[in-house]
Amino acid sequence: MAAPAGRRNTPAMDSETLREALRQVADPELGHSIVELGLVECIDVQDGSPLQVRVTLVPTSATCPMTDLLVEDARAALQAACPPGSEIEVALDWQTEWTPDRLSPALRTRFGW
Amino acid sequence: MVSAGRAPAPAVRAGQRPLARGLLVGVLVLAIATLLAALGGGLVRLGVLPPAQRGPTAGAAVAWHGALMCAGFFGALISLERVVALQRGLAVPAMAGLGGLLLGWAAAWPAVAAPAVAAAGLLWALSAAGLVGLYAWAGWRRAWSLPLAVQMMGALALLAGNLLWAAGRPEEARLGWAGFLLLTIAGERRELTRLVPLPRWGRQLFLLLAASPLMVLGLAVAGLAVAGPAWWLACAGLALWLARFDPGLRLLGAVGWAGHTAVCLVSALVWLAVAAMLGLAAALGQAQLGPVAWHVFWVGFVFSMVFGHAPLMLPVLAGLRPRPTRLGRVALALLGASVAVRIAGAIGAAPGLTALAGAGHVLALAGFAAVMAFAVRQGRAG
Repeated sequence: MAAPAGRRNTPAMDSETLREALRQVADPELGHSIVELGLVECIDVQDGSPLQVRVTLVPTSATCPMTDLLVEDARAALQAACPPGSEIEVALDWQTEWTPDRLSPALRTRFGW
Repeated sequence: MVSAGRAPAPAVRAGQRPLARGLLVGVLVLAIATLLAALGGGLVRLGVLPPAQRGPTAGAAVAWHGALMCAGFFGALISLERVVALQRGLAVPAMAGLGGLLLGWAAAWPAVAAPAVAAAGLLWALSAAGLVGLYAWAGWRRAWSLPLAVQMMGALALLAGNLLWAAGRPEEARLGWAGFLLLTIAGERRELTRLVPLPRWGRQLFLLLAASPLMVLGLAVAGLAVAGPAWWLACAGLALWLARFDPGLRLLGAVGWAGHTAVCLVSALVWLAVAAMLGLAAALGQAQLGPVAWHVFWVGFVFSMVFGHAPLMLPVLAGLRPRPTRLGRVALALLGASVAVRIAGAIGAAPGLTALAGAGHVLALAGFAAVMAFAVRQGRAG
């Protein structure tokens, strides 16, 4: 079966591909990726035309002014990784508390856990 | 459908209409105008400029230098950062900035002083109360946390400082304003220390240190002389605590602005410790060191943090993305050198050195602004 128009030569988009894309987004103060810091809570991908992507981030602070900047950067990284015309949504989840358990194993070791 | 992680919680905020960038920049300009209005009085204090009958170097501007800097400039700047985070409450920093402009106007033209001073005092009190409200909203609608509570105590210290200034008690007001800045910074740094394991004694010591500024303010309002040394002990304790636990200090070699911020943090902690030593020496009988201790606190500690924070805030406040450069460290070094000269001037009772330090402060500020402008231009060039 032929690939849908506009999607030819586009690798299959899955959450791991998008997670890799989000590794390029760094917290500006710490210089570590939002994936390593455990800010990425959920990545939903719905195949179709257009492709629909919804990413949920867990903020570390209720009053950090850089949160919206991270949302903007995450959206840009996802747009760069997805086919043109994809619908990208990046949301913040204020109900889930960020804890150090969310850090990647490498960062946990680096920070002395 | 492909999914990873938990399903999104129902209370997810899927983006909300952001505050207009033009309004944010307008309030940022108000804050910077207040900073410029405050500079004249500060330079007269240090002997860089002669006092004048009217204008930004008039006697009232000299007396109100601290109020303009703390209640005006920092009140507007810090609350503007919270407004960006919460996407509400733009009137809070706007009132702080307008109060600063009114007081700067009153200082320059004494004929309008009385009503303008009263209006500035009212605006500053309302603004500080608004900042307390913004923190309460963040806790209520998002999440309460220790760092948030510490920053909220900082806003309460600002409110107390502004009310004490309006009541004609500038000495106690200064402690309120210093508590505002110290607690705001301490709260922000405490957020980052959640990245590292803290021993029980470290967590408990932080609680004691964070409670100190408001307790010290209470002692000062009660007229107890112990407030002065208690304040500087708290500063020394916080400097040591952050030097021991702040993960930002592990980023000295990091690329991007993270490395710059780490260098600024080191500078800030050194100056906070030095200010505390000078303040304690003043309390132990070297009274001539009292003013320079405060000067090192404001210029060395606070402005080092400002230099470290500014490149991170420009994108969110003004939509500008400065490209990382090590030139910012040159401005930081100039700031540090000028603070050292200020200390030498106080110890050696040399007014010439004090004036030289004041000129150095201005050069450092102007140099840092130039570095930021250069970095923004480089960022635009891609």
